[in-house]
Amino acid sequence: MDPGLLRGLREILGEAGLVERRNQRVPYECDGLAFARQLPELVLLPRNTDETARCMRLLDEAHVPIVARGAGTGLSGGATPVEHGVLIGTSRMRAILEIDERNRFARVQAGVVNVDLSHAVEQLGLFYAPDPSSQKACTLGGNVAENSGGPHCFRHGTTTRHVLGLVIVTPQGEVLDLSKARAEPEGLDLVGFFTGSEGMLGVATELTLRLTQTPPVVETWLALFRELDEACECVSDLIRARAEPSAIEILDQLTIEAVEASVLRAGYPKEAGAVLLLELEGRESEVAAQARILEPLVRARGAFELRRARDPAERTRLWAGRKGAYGAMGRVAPDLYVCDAVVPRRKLRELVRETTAICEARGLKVANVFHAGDGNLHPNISYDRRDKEELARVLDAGDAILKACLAAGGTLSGEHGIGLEKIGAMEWLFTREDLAAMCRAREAWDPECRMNPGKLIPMRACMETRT
Amino acid sequence: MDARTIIDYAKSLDCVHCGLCLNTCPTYRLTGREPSSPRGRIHLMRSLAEGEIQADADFAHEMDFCLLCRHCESVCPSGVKFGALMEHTRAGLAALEKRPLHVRLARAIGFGVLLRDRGALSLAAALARVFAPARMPLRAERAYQPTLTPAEGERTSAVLMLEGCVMSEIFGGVNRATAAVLARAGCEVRATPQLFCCGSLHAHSGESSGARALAREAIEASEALCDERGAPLPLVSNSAGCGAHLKELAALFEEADPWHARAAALSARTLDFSQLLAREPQRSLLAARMRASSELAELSPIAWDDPCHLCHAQGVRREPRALLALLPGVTRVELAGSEDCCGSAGAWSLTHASESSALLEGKLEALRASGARTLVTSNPGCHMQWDAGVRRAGLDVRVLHLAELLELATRN
Amino acid sequence: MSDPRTLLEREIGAAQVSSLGALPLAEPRDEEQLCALLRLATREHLCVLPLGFGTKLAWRASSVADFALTTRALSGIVEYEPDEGVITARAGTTLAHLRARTAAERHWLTPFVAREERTSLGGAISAGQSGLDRLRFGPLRHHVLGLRVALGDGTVVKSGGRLVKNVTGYDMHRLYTGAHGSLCVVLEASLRLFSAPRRYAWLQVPGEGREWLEAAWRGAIRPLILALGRVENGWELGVLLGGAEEVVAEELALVQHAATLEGEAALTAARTFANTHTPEGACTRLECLPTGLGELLSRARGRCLVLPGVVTAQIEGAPPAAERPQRTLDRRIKQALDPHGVLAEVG
Repeated sequence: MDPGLLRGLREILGEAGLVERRNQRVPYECDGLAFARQLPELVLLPRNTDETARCMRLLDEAHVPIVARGAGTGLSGGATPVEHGVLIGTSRMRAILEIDERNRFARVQAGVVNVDLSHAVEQLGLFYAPDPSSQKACTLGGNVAENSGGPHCFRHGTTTRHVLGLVIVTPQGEVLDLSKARAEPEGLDLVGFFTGSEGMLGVATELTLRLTQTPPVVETWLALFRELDEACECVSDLIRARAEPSAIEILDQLTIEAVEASVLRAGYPKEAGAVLLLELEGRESEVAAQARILEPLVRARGAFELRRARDPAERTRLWAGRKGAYGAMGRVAPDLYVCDAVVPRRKLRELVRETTAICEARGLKVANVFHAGDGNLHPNISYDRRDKEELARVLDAGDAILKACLAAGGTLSGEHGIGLEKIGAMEWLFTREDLAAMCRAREAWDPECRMNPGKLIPMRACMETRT
Repeated sequence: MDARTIIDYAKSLDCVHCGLCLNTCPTYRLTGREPSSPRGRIHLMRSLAEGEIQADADFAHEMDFCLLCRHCESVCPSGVKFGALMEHTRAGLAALEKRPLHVRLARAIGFGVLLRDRGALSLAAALARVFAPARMPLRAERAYQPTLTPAEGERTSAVLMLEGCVMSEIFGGVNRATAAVLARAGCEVRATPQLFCCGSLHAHSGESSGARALAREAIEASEALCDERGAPLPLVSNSAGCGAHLKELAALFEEADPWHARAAALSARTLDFSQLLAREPQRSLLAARMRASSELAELSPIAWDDPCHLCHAQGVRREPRALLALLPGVTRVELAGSEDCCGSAGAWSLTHASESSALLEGKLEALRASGARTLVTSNPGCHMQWDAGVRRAGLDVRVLHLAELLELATRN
Repeated sequence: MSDPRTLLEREIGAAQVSSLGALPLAEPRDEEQLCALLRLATREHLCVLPLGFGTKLAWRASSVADFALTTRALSGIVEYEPDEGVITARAGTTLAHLRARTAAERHWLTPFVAREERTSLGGAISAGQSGLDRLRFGPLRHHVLGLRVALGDGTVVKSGGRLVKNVTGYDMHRLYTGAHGSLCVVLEASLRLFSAPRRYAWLQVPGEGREWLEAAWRGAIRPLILALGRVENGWELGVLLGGAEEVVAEELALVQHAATLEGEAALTAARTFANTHTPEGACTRLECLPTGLGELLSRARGRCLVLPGVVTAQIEGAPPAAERPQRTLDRRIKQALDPHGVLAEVG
C-alpha cells in the first residue's frame, strides 16, 4: 500500500478506523462463503458518509479496488476481498438517524443490524419486514447490497420493496443523496437498481427504509409430515389454492435434529420426516379465513399432526430455530455449503428430490431448510474445507443442482446473490448480450470497475463490452 | 514448543462462520473490528493452527481483549465452546510467553501469589481499600464463615458453601447473608478454610497449572465433607464466575487423568445458590419468612442484571427472577440488555480500563432508563463494577447481591 | 438521405406505417421487425419514440423523434401457469385482456388503472404506472419480475425471470420500468399476481375521506382500491373492499355505509371511477408523505386522481424542473445503454 495513501486514510479515520496489521486483517479474508479467501490490503471502518466519501476519493485517485462489507454473513462471497484491494466495513456506522412513526419509515446508517431496527420500533407497533435468517447479525446495508430475503418475504417481499431511499457514495467518492422517502422515483429508479447490485455500484451509507405495521394477530403453525415429498406437495397445493400466509417454510429431519441438539432447542418434533412452518397474520377475521383454507389442504396431504404455537415465546423459539438452522448444521461437519436456487413452485417436490439425489450420488450429506412458498431451495451440504477432494465434490454438486433448477425453469439465486460463488453459472442463464447490458449499466457508475471487481458478471462478458 | 499446538483445533472446527455471535460480543460492538469478535478470534485461532499466521503480540492482544463473557455461546447454533477454546489458547500463550514483561510480572504476582494465599490476598485487599478506594465497593468487608451454620427451623438438607477468595476478602457481608438465607431455607451450611480459591481467574487467564493445583485442592476439600450417607455435600456458590468454573472443572484434566472424574463429580454437585433456593422445599420455606418492610419498600423498584457467568456460562436465568418475585411490596423492572457484559470480567477492567468504562456506560444508560432504585447481581466482579459505576455517575441506586436482598426480606 | 417514412415503409411495408400527429408511426408485426427498425434507426441516425397506445404522450410526442414505434401488435400471453402466480405476456397485450384472463383463474392483477383496454403492458411498465390498488400492493415496479427488451441498437436482452423471488444479476428491469422508453423498448414482461378476493364491495363517498384513509392506514380496513378523485367543489372517495366473505363483512360493518355495490358491479364501478378521474394524456405526478396529503389536496387543480402518497394530475406545459441530484447518473446510464441516442428522451 502506497504510504502517502495510507497516511491520508489514517488522517481521515484515525487508528480506530483502520485495520492494518496482518494478524488483524486475517479474519476479513472471507465472508460466509468460507472457502473463498483473499487477504485485504487494508480494512477501513469509517463512521459516516463523509468519512466514507473522503476515503473513496483518495482510493479513486490511487485507482484502488474496493469491496464493501457489512457483517460478513453473506453466503455468495459478495464481501470476499479482492487482490490489491481494500475493504470498507460499515460496522462502525450503527446509528439509527430518524424514525418517522406517522409516515412509517426510518433512516439508518448502513451498519445497523437488521434486527436492531425492528427492536427500535417495536414499541411503536412497527417492524422492518425483510427478515433474513442472519438478521441478528447482518447489516441493513448488506441487505440492500444483496436484496436479501427471508421467510416473511413470502408476503412482504424482499428488501427492494422496503427501500425508499439511499445515500450512496459513488466509486469516485461523490455523495449521491437519494435519501428522501419517495413513492415513485424521480427520473430513473436508481435506488431500485442499486438494491441488489452486490456492492458493485458504490457504497450505500444511509438507508431510508419502510416500516411495516405489526399485525394484530399472528399464528404460527407446524404441520408434521412423514415424508419431505408430502411437505413439498403441500406447499404446491397452498400456492394452487391461492392461500396467502405470511411465510411458508420447510425443515427436513436432518435439520430438525441439528436444531434440536443446539442451544436453540426450538421444540421441533424429531419424529417428523419434514415440518411445514406456516405463519398467518392480519386481523382476526383475516387469519381465520386463511386458516379455513389452509387446514384441510394440509390434512389432505397427509400431515399427521397440526400444531399451533401456544404463545409468543413458543413462536419466537420456533423462528429462532428456523433462522439458526444453518449454524446448527455446524454440528454435523466443520463447514457448510448453503446452496440457493429458485424453482417454479409447482415443481418443488420434483426438484427437492433431484437435488437430494445429486448430493447422494456424490457421497455428500445434505439437509434441506428452505423458503418453500417462494420456491427458494436451500440444500445445505456438509463438508470439510480442508478436504480438497470433498470440496470439489461439493462444488460439483452445487453446479449440478443449479443446472437441474435452470432446466426446470428456475434461477441461480433467490436471495444470496451471485458474488464469486455463482459467477461461472451466469453464462448458463444469460446470453452474452444480457451480460453486456449489465456491464454497460455498471460502467455508467464505475467506469474503472473498481467496486467489487470479479463478482457477479463474468470477466469475459465485461471485456466484450469494452472492445 | 510449536505455536500451532496452543489451539484446541478440533473445537475450533465447530464454527461455521455464520456470524450470529457478532452482535452479542461486547468488544465487537465497541470497536466494530472483526478480529475483536468471537468469529474473528476463532478465525485467528484456526489460522494459527493451520500455520497461516504467527502467535505474535497482535494475536495475544486479541485473545487478551476478550472478556470471556461467553455471551456468544448463548447464541451459537453450532455449539462452539468458545470459553473453553479461549482458555485453552490463553494457556498456550502463557506457555509461549508472548506477552510483554510487565504483563507477565503482574500475572505472576496476581495468580502465583495473591490468589494462592489467603494472607497475601488479605493484605492486598487492605492496601486496595487505602490506595484505590474508588474501585472498592462502599461496604467492602472481610469476613470468614464459621465451619457450621445450623439450619433455622427444621433442617431439610446440608450444603457446603464456597466462600471464595475475593468474596471473603471484600464481600464478607454477602457471604454472611448467603449463609443466613440458606439457613432460613432449612439448610445446614458448612464451610471450610481448605476451600479457598476455586481457580477460575487462573483458568480464564490461561494459568492452567495454577488452576489445576487449586482445582485439586477444591476437590479434596469438598470430598472431605459428606452427609450422613457418606456422599459429598452439594457445593453452593454465590459467585457466578466461581460457579461456572466449578461446573466445568473437568476440562482442566485429560480424560485419562483420575482427577478428571473427580472434577466431573464435583461439577455435578455444584449449584448456584439461587438454583438451590428456587427448589422445594427451600423456596416455600423462604417464601413463608418473607415480610414486607419499609426498608425493603425503599429499595423498590429493583432490576436484576444477569451476570454473564450465570446466564451464559451456567444457563441460569429463571431462578434469580423467581426468587425476586417472592419479595413482598417490591416492584421489579427489566433492565434492557441485562445479559450484556458490564465490562468487569475479573482483571479485564484493570487491564482495559477505558473499554471497561465504555461498556459500563451502556449498562448505566439502561439502568437510568429502567428507573430502578436497586440493582441486583450475584457476582463479585459485576458487583464492584456496578458499585463504582453508580458512584461515578452519581446515581441514587443501591447495588446489592441477590443474597443480601433475600436476607433483608426474610429477616425477622 | 430518404425521409424516415420512406425508410420505414421500405423496411416493413407501407401497410404497417401510419401517422401519429406529424410523426410516422411504425407498427412492427413481430420482434424481428421491431429490431430491424431499431437497427435501421441506428444506421440512419434516426430517433425513435417507442409507445404502446400512446395515451401518455400528448405534449411530448412532437419532440425530438423522427418516428414513433408502437408495440401494439406484439400481443398475447406467452406463459401463464395459474398455479405459479406469474404471468408473462408480450408488450402490446392490454391490461384489460390480462385482467380478464387472470381473473378467470382467481388472480388479481396489479396495477388497476383507467382505460385498461387502451393500456398496454409495455406502456404501463415504461410509464411506471402504478394503479388505484397501490396502497394495498405497492407500486408496479415491485411486481415486474423480469423483462425482455430491445435496446436502441436492436439487441434483445433480458433480466430477472418468471419467478417470484430472484436476485440473479442486476435488476435491469428496475431501470427500464418508468424509463419512458428512453433506455429500451419493452418486448415481454413477467408480472407477479395476487390472490383474487372472494368478495368485492364498492363504496363511493363524497369528501376527502380522512377517516377512511386513517382506517386503511392503521389496518382496520385493507381495501384493494382506495383513491380520491376531484369533483366540483371538492373530492370524492372510491373504495373497493375485497377479501374473504367475513373479512369484507367485518369491514362493511365497521364503515357502516349503506350504498354499496358487490361482485361484478363493484368492479365495474371501480373502473368507471378510475376512468372518470384519471387524466388523459400526459400528466404530472406529484407526491407527498402520508402526513402531507391534506396540503397536497389543497394544491390540486383540474382532473386529478389521488392515490395515497401519489397524485396524478393534469398540469399544462412541462413540469417544473426539480432539483435532481441523480441527473448525471441518469445521463451516464442512458449513454451506456443507448450510446447512439436512438431512443427518444421524453422525461
